[in-house]
Amino acid sequence: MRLETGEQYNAVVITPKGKMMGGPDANKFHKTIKDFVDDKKTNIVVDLGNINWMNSSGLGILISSMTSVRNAGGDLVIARPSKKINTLLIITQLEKIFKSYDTVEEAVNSFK
Amino acid sequence: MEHSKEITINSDLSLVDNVVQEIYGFLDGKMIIEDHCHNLSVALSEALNNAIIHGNKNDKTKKVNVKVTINSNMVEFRVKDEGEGFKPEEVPDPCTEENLCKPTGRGLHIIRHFMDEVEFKNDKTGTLVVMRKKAKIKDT
Repeated sequence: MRLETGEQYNAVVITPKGKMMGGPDANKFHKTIKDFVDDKKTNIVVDLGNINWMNSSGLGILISSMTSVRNAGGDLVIARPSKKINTLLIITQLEKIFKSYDTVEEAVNSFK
Repeated sequence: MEHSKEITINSDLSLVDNVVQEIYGFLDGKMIIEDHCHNLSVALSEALNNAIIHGNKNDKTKKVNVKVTINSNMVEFRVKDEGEGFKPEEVPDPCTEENLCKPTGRGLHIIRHFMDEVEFKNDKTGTLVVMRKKAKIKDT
């Protein structure tokens, strides 16, 4: 998994690319989240539009990241989940937990 | 016509992706419904992770064996570890309110959704998970 980050208005946009499946991916993602939280940047959008494969470990990365950000007073929302990722979210009922948006723009605007 | 492929790895999570890719490559092009291939690869990754983490307790000297068999209407995975076994009925439901925000514990739940049949067989040599999915396979 590769990670790109950027900022739009008052939100951070994290764009993982490739597979999201735990192991080293989890460490890289959590370090990125921690750095933003330490920097008081806690409006976070995770753009999943370039993730082509995810398993429960990938879901675990998102959940623990969301918990860290919410504990710091902010929120982590997701954007552009594929049909396959949406299926995972529905199966695991995590659709109840994550705020999900069809576009990055909508996700960023949710923090305005 | 029946096709099969078998791979044995040490209990190292960093090897799971390669195994899943290899099996995905074996299945890809044989499945009529492309989503089946994706869902099967996710289920397989969950079973391999469980075998390494919960079965073999991340002991890299212990092996995990996976065998995939396909015939005209079914895909079967057999994932065998060298662990002490577990009682699937004792695995907590990850969808209850108290478990929903936990970062782990969803693997078995996902396997059961993506596969049609899941069996667990424990004996002195380890745990065997057998997972089957009815699927239309292209003539090869």
